[in-house]
Amino acid sequence: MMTALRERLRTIRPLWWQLGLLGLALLLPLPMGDYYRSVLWRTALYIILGLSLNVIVGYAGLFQLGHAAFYALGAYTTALLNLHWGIPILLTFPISILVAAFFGYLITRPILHLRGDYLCIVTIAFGEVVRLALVNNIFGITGGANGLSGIARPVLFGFAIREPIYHYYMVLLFLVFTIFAVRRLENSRLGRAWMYVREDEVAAEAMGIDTTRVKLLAFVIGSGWAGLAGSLYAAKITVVSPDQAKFLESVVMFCIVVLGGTGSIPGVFVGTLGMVTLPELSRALKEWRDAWLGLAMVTMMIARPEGLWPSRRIRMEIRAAQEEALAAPASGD
Amino acid sequence: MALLELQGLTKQFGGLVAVDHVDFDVNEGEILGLIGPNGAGKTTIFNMITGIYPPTEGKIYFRGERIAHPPLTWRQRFSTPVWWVSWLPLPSVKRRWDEVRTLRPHEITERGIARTFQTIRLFKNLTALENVMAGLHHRTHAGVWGAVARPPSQKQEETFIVAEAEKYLAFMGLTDYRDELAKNLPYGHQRRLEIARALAAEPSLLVLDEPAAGLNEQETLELMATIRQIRDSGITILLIEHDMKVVMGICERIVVLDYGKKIAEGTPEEVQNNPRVIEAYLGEEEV
Repeated sequence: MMTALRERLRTIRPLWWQLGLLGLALLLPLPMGDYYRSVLWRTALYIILGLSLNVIVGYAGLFQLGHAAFYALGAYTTALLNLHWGIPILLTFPISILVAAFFGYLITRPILHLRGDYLCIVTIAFGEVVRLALVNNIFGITGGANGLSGIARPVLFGFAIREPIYHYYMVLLFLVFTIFAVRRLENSRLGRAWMYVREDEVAAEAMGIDTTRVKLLAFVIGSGWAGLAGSLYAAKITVVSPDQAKFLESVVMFCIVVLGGTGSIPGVFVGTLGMVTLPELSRALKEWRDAWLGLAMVTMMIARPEGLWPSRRIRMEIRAAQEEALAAPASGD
Repeated sequence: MALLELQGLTKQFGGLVAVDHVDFDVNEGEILGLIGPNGAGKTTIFNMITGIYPPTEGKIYFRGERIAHPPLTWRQRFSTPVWWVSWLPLPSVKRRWDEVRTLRPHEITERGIARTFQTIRLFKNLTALENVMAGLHHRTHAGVWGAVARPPSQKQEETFIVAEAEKYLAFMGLTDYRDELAKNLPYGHQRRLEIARALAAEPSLLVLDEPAAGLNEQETLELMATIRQIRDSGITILLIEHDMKVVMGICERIVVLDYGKKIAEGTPEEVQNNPRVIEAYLGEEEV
């Protein structure tokens, strides 16, 4: 019965699926109150963040546990440009992307040759550096621990985007573009290069792939896109604070990618539902969010290391790695 | 001028001299065999040629251009003017900088040296076709913009990549395995797939590290024919091999290494009758 149903579903053209889901996303907030619309907005925002991190963690197979730093950089860029020079919010978006991407380049260029856990530690450190710089009111412009407030509303053709539902639609617009872009990236020459690097860096390099450049591109794209998410956040909340660069934020983003299924777009949706939407909806979970994060992490790593909705390929890679580990338990290297 | 020239090439790992002042040339269009007992330093030479690590001493020239240098010490870096400006994206700076550094493996592949590995290093979880497509990476150009916007040029490029990859799969007789995962291929076919992937990089020098290791009689014969065929298509071949039947059967010239030193060089007949080679392989005769 189930398999028959699944087969039936599989015969439906992907375009119908996509249109159906888009329609659902558009209609979903209509019967809701402002609170739930905000929850939807937050979910969509974190999906964008998850997808941006997925480029780094999922496609290129690199660790990034300081992603929130770029999110905060984007938010602060928007805030500063708007507060100091009165630049309209929507125009600050591309600048935020560039600023975050530039910092992504600057930070990762010297550490790209590091592998696995070492890279992970450096990215955590960078995240903390950014947060502390913001808290300590660096250059006297970031407003210290209180952050910056009073950011203007984004205005589109004379219409100020104020209500949560319009913010949701704005984020949704960017989300649709993000999905479109990352899917194309994944199935491109660059996407394949990421795949080769993830599989075997030495062989990839020997086949003529500039691994440094390719990994750098993953970081730059991922960081820049996190900057955009930061701007979208600043546009709705109108207040930015160093809390955005908290280590826990980075961990949440990392969990979204890993628990949902590394390298998988639906996985990021599932991960965001578990890590962001559920705690938001239930008070109990919100108060116990840190515990929930830890519990989910431990359970998943034991029961389903490839994530809830993994990409076929990465599931294969993880299974293969596990089998190898089991086959050679005593090997010393 | 020889295609590849090694001059006084030395590699030291701590106290161990793995390769000790080795000189030899690889001429355009030949099949040169590199042989020697285990631990003679053959693979180390390959790794230096393909840029996996830099030599401790000595030079490697490919088509007259130096591709490998001993690593610069900090003092040398500071006293080399071009080091200070090496980050500038200027062609003249780049040329000067290339003269003093060891090229990275991908740059060497771009210049026309492709390799296979002693222990097969395919992308195991990717299909045979995707593996071969890796070799085409440096021959194509699409970047981020090409990937997201998909202009017509990018679509053409993708068709080109697939068509070329299929061509090399067919050449190595692997068309039937096009969509099979590399790890599920029989061992002999994995070896062939690795060669197909290297060929897709369109090298002028193909460097094969024990291509016949683990192959049965029949597969070995097929491989020998294929290697000759590759050479006849205009690709020079440098190969390490333990199987003497293969080495004596297809190599036109042979270089013999023992304990990191070159002990003989010549045609298969010359090498076979060389007393030092016999000694290295069979041990000295007790008197």
